[in-house]
Amino acid sequence: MAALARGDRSAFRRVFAGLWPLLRTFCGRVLRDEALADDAAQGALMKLFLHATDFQSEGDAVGWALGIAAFECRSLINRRARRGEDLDLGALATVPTADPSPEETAIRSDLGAELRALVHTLRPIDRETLERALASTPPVRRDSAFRKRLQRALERVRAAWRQTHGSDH
Amino acid sequence: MAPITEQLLARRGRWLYELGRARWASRTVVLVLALLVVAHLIGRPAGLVLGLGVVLAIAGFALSMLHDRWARAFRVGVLAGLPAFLLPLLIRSLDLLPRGTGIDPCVPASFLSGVAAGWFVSRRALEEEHRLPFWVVAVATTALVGTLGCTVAGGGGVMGMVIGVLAGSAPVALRAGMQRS
Repeated sequence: MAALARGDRSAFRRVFAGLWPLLRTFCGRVLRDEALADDAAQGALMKLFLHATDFQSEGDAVGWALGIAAFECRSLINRRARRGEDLDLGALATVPTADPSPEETAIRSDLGAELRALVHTLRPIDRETLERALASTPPVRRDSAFRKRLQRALERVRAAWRQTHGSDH
Repeated sequence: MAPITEQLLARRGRWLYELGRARWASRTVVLVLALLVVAHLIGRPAGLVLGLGVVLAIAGFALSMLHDRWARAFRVGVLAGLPAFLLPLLIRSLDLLPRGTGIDPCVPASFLSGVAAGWFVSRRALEEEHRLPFWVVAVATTALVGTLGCTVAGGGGVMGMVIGVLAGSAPVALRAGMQRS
């Protein structure tokens, strides 16, 4: 590196062969992303050659090169963060969506089938009360007698569910 | 950035290296420009300043591009040429030496500046690995810089300076030769 800094072009190949794998490995370890590490290592290598003449012969070439690479990695991370590209798959999975996921749809479907089967085991009066309460039209007049019947019907549903599945949930 | 081969990467790196080197070498041109501005301000002929300036700037840039040792030789040459550049002008403008002896006072001034420059360049060349090429480059630069000032005494001034450079270099070269043998 010192020879190249002095203007000795014959040292170029040796510097390239020595530093390129080192920078590539370093950026790979820092960024943990192959494509991004390639970009960072290439950028660092180009900057290193552009400023090679400024290298002080008594300095540590590897330390200098890794310093440039670290700066390049940090710049890439910051640039990506500014663009909002740094959301990983785990973070994406936590983003709420309006539509239920396929998994949620399957669970709801199973629960609905279970509940319908359970309702068929209830007494007709309880079944009719639940149907009236769930029906949207026409609106049910919820007087105290109806509320009492609905409460009893729900308790029987809960008891039947507990008996079948071992829990209220 | 698209994936590229190592060969292409090396080629790009080499281009950038040359670009960086050119940027570094351009500092020498700034030094030459400063010298030319001074030469112009002290009333040296514009044609001479421009002609020698272009040669000096190109030579300085090219030598600095090539290798540090040539850049160093150029800088030493410019430094050694400064007395030869300024002393004859000072002597003439301040009228330090009496006239009427038949010799322009700038001729001995140019000679003495040349001796000092030759001695300085030779001493510096001894510290270098490639002594003779270093000395040749530095002396050529000294001659160009000195000519900017020494032409106040005409061709005699230039000749005096060149003889002075050789005279100043000779003792150092002889001593170095004796130490080697």
